[in-house]
Amino acid sequence: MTFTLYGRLQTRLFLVGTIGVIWTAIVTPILPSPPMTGYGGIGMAQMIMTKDSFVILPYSRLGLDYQITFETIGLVAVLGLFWELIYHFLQQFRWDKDWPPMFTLLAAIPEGLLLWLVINLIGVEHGSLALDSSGFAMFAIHFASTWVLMWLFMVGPLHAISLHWRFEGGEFYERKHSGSTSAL
Amino acid sequence: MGLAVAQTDCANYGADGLRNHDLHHKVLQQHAKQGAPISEEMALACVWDDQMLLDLGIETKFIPFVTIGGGLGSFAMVDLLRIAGVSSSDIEVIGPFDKSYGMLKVLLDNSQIPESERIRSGSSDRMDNLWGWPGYSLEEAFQDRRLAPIWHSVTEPILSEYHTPRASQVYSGIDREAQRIGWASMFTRGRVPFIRKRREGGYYIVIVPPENTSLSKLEIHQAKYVHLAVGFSGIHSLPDVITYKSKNHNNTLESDGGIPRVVNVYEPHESIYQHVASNPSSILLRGAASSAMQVIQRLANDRKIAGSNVKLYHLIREHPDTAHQPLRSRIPTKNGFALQAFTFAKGSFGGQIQRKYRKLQDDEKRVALLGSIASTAIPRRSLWEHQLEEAKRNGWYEVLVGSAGGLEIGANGKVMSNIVKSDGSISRIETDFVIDATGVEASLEDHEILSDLVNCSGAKLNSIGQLDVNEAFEVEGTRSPGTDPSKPGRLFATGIATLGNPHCIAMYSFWGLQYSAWKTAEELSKDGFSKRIGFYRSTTSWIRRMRNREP
Ligand SMILES: Cc1cc2nc3c(=O)[nH]c(=O)nc-3n(C[C@H](O)[C@H](O)[C@H](O)COP(=O)(O)OP(=O)(O)OC[C@H]3O[C@@H](n4cnc5c(N)ncnc54)[C@H](O)[C@@H]3O)c2cc1C
Repeated sequence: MTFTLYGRLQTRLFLVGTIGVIWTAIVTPILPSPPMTGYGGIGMAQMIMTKDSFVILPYSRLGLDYQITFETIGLVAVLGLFWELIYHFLQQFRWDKDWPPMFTLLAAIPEGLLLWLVINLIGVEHGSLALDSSGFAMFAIHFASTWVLMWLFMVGPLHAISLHWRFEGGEFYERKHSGSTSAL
Repeated sequence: MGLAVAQTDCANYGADGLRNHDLHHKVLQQHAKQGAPISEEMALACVWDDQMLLDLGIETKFIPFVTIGGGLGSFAMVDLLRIAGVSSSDIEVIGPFDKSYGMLKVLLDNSQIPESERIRSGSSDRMDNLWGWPGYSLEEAFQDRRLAPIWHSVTEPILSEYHTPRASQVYSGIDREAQRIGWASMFTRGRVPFIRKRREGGYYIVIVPPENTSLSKLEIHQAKYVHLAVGFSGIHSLPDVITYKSKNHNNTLESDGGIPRVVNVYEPHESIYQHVASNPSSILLRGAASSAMQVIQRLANDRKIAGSNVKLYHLIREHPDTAHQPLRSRIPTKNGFALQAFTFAKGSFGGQIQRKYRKLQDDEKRVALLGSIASTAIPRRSLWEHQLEEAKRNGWYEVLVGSAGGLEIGANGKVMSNIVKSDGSISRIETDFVIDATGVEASLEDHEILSDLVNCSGAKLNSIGQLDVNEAFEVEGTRSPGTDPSKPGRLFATGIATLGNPHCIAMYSFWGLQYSAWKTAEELSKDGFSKRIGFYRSTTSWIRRMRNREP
């Protein structure tokens, strides 16, 4: 992969916004949910929970799961923007100024670890940081599967969608400069 | 592949102009004899008009878009236009080879990359697939029912070497795509010595039949858009090789059917390998690019298989000295060679390096950047590493450091090479053969059509002596507005002749040819000639391609 810095950032947001969102919507219902007690978190699912605090409806159970998974991929996007800066910096030490696809795949390891930490800290997920924490299975399966799918999409079908992406270092849109086009 | 970018002295063109006209006149006269009456006036005029041709009774054929060259640059352009919705009846391709890879195949065959060998560029650099996916690796894995190519693609270049396609796979893919886009129906075999602006707008294209073809007489076609994709102008040889050859052209190895003693790696020289296979011989190989490695590979294979007895001296200018360079810009090295997977550093193919290049407004800085990333280096291939180590160990291969300082005839017709060491001293070495692998020529003056363009059609040169083009690869100064200035005839170019262009650094690569075609097509879509390729058209066209449906 030959990314420019903007190309990285755009590609990350695009992948999370498409594959990430679609896959999360599909996979969440079948992920192993953690037990319900003591959930923290923010957003719609929590409101439902506060309102119906004494009854846990199946639908809000799912709502909660969705809250967790979507907040997770939201963080993949947001934290990802910082990660991309680091990758871009590291790319400078490569003679070819490229980024082998393997690096992107393996980036799941540090990114996953940080994500797990952050999710626990801000309370999207509850419990201990330990790998036997009740929410870990859900997180790991969701994150790993999303990551692999995003990666597969990037090394594959993404090429078919946009020539601009292929020819301009992973950018879908270019900032206008010296008359160059911002095409797709 | 080393590249010799000749510095062109613009001032020369004044004098050359006359010579060119003479030449054209001769061409025209010669063809006039075969049935195309051309007047003196026409041969010398830089702008023609319909009346001139009418007076002479010459019929012209109008095609909106004509690409000249018919090589891979033409192929990339035509493929893109077809995908962008242009009908095959609106496009003409003119060139000497009916297959677009004709020229490349000649050069690859000569330089020891027959169909079964792998070329240098990577899996996704596909001439026959604008999107670059699925790459050659996936296709090969599928065809051969092997997982290894996919493993390569996923782990390259860290755990494995880059996957590169066999030449045969490249050719057959292009054949398939050519079939799909109707290449044959757009193709005219011929050579274009020059084009002329048409007073009424657009251009005339003069086509002369190459030898042994059906086209019997000179033809003149008319186009609104012209695309020049005439490739390299020839084979580059160092001056001493040229001098030697012109002086001693008949110094061949007579005892064995006239094998040339001094050859360029891109010229046919199979006879040398045949001779070496059965006679103890010595060879001096010059150049440290991958074409030189290809020669070493061939000799190593022959040694192993045929048990040939060869002594190979490899003359390189210097061992890459990288120690003083900052880590961030230090090219990797091994066995005394700089290592780089592709002709250009990978980030030049649309990535960070291309972006950096584009931001440079100063021509000289662009040239400097180009020089640093298109370095004389070889791809890291374990086969080559093993062969080099084996060769050194067994003493049949020796590296000499210095520069070429002239060739002479030595004893018994052998070739005496003078080698200038870095301290200025000269050493001499006598070998049976000299193989020069120092590059291909990119000189614009040697292309009659391009030098005429500068003389007659207002094209200008950039600071490295190539065509001055804009971001859409339109040649500056060559518009032919005619009577309708809002819809001028426009002239585009691609390939090596546009080196130094403002947008793309990796110009002599499949990728660069596709990139420039894409830029040109975008511009043409603004003219309403083609459609823009956005998300929708890209995706649907890709699906059509995968189903092998006409675009
Ligand atoms: C040995 C070698 C190996 C290469 N390997 C790779 C690789 O692995 N990967 C990669 O990406 N790139 C590679 N390249 C670089 C580049 O992609 C090819 O050279 C490619 O063929 C260039 O395309 P082109 O259209 O510019 O020139 P060509 O393919 O050479 O086509 C130009 C054509 O124009 C014709 N022509 C010239 N003048 C006229 C005229 N006046 N009228 C009509 N026709 C004319 C020529 O005869 C020629 O057929 C390689 C180059 C060489 C030399």
